[in-house]
Amino acid sequence: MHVDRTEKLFIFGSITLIVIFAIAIAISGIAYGIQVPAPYEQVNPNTVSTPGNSPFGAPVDERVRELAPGKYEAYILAQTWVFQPNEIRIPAGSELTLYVTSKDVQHGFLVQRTNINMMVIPGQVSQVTMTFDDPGEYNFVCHEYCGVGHQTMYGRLIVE
Amino acid sequence: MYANENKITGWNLVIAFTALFIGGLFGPLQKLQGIGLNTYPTLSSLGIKSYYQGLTIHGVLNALVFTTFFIIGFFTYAISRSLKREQKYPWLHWLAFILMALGLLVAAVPILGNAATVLYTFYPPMEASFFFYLGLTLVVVGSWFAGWGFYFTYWRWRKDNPGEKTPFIALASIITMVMWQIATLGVATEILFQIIPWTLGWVEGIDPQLARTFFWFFGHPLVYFWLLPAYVSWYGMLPKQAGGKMFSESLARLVFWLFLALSIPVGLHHQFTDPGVPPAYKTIHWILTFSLFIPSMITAFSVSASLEIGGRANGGTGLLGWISKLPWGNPSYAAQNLAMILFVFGGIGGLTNASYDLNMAIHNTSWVPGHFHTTLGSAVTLTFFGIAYWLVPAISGKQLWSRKVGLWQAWTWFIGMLLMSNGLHILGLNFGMPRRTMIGSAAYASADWNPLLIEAALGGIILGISGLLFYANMIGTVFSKKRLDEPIEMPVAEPYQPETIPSWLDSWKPWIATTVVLILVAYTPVLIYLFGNLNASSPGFKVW
Amino acid sequence: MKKEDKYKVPQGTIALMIIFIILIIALWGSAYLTMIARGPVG
Repeated sequence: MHVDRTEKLFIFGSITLIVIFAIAIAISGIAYGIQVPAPYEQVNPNTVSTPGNSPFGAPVDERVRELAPGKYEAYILAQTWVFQPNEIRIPAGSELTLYVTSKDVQHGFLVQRTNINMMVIPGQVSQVTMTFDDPGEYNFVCHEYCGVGHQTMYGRLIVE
Repeated sequence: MYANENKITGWNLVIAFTALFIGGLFGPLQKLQGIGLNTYPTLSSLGIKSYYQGLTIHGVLNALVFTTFFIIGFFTYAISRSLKREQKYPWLHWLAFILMALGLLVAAVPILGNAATVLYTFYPPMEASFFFYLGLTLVVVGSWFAGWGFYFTYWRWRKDNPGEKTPFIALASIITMVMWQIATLGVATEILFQIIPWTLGWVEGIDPQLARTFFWFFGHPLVYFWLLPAYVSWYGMLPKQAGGKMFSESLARLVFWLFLALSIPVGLHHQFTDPGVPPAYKTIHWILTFSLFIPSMITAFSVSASLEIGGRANGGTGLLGWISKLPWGNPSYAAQNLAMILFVFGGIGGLTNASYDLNMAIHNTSWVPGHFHTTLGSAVTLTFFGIAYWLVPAISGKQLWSRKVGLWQAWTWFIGMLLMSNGLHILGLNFGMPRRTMIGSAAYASADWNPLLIEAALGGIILGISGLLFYANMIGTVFSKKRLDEPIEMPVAEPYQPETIPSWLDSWKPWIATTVVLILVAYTPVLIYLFGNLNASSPGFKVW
Repeated sequence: MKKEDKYKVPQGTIALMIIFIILIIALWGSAYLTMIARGPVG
């Protein structure tokens, strides 16, 4: 099979480029700690929010907990068309672990201007941890179509 | 000769372009809604009960109906001309068309009746009307029949032409149909084995994570089913239209075989942020997806070089001066070359999406429609317009109504798309504005978004005007009194340097084997995992 | 065009491909740096 010399060079260059990109991505995961979501836990979406069954059934004002100084966790229940709780306050410098699940249809969870971006699938618990060094306010929005109220589904993360 | 083929092509194109017209109407309306010009309350009295019903129509008609019908129509024409024979079993192709048209009608009823406002991805446990799923299944199965018709014709050609290399256009088209055949097994499995038993009440719950996985088994090769016909034109026809030649025939064939093997075992790159899929499997799909970079880079070089031959043959000189000597006055050429330029951005965006954790920077943001409008909406759709500019005259026997309107159409599409996709890309990456959302009414909308939303809306309006120009030209052509002076022949690019094609580039067995092995490697582990962790708990929801 | 179709190096294509590669690096790189700046998540 004959390949033109300049095209051969170009193909070789493209392969080199994509390998470099792959290494850059590997570095982003290994050295910069940017990880995609992984399975954490499964639940029954029909009973997950029943009080007493899981943290997702706790009263809404008990869903954000300080585990230790500077370490917080929040259990957010997604449903058409709200996140509960829809407001989370943590001090700057805190490490926050979020657990999100849905009791009905597929939703999404995107904390704008951060790398927190997960699907929220009934039956699965989505988990992510991030340290918020600086004060600021972030909206977290549902980014998967979930019905006619989809555009109202959001919450606020306030780092004080 | 070709009387049947021309009728089938013609009918498929009629349905394709009618679907695009209806689906396309919602495009500008969606963009206007984003800047506060909300037509949906008025549309409600016309039967479109929500933005999302409109978006469902937009997605289903544009991404599934327009594409599938156009591609089948185009391939019916192209394969028969390339093999210089009529299709072996015309009844198979008519049956295919009837099934597809029937499927469209069956699905259209619930979609228009607001009983299937689930968008074109119909993710369970959102539950649409049974007839929505039935309709889509019929469209897909109908397309299989068309493919089988092509295979029988090709098989007969091979028996009659032993030892001859398959003509490029026919080979590339049939490879595309085979890829589609295998790809659709994913969505067929999702619909037949998960959704239909669930929606008929035979099983109580569905596992949405498994359903997503079956859908995206299909969903990624779906985009290559759209793209490869454009590549057939860019490689196999456009160079002829430009006075050029096919720069490397072997590489062109290799590219299509590579797409057969590599388009399917990559679906998890649409699921990088899924909670129920382990990262190890996502990583495998990431690496396989990166390999797809290579056939598209080869395409960029080869197609450009093929066109350069034409530009220089037409008197072009200098490093880049030959570009101006390409047939920009031919709307078929202009549309396709502009489509390629837009595809530069589509391809780079696609590479970004495929880059594993980088996907989290843009997943489900408006970057994604920004991306697929430069790929499906430009590389594919604008190329299909370019093809129509000679194909519709060819099968109708009429002259193109207006060359000038064709040029205006191509350039307005180009400008409109640049504006719209630029706005959407930036809103997604930098602002985290979500996709698939009635953004003009979003509770969290930010004033920061407005300049870019206005840019996107301006782009959308220009695209709408461009679309109208296309339809005016098509209607003008079909109803024109001016017949062609001579029949239009399919443009077929000749090789620049004739070469013997090695037999491994004209054999199916090794490539089908490779395809199957890669699919097994990519999907067996994750499917075993998902079945081992099956959570079929979700009942259906009607959320509109 | 039937005059000698002698092979010529596709210089214009090479130039365009260089521009293309620069664009890829610039745009992908910009998205990549945006992600890096947003910090670790996992």
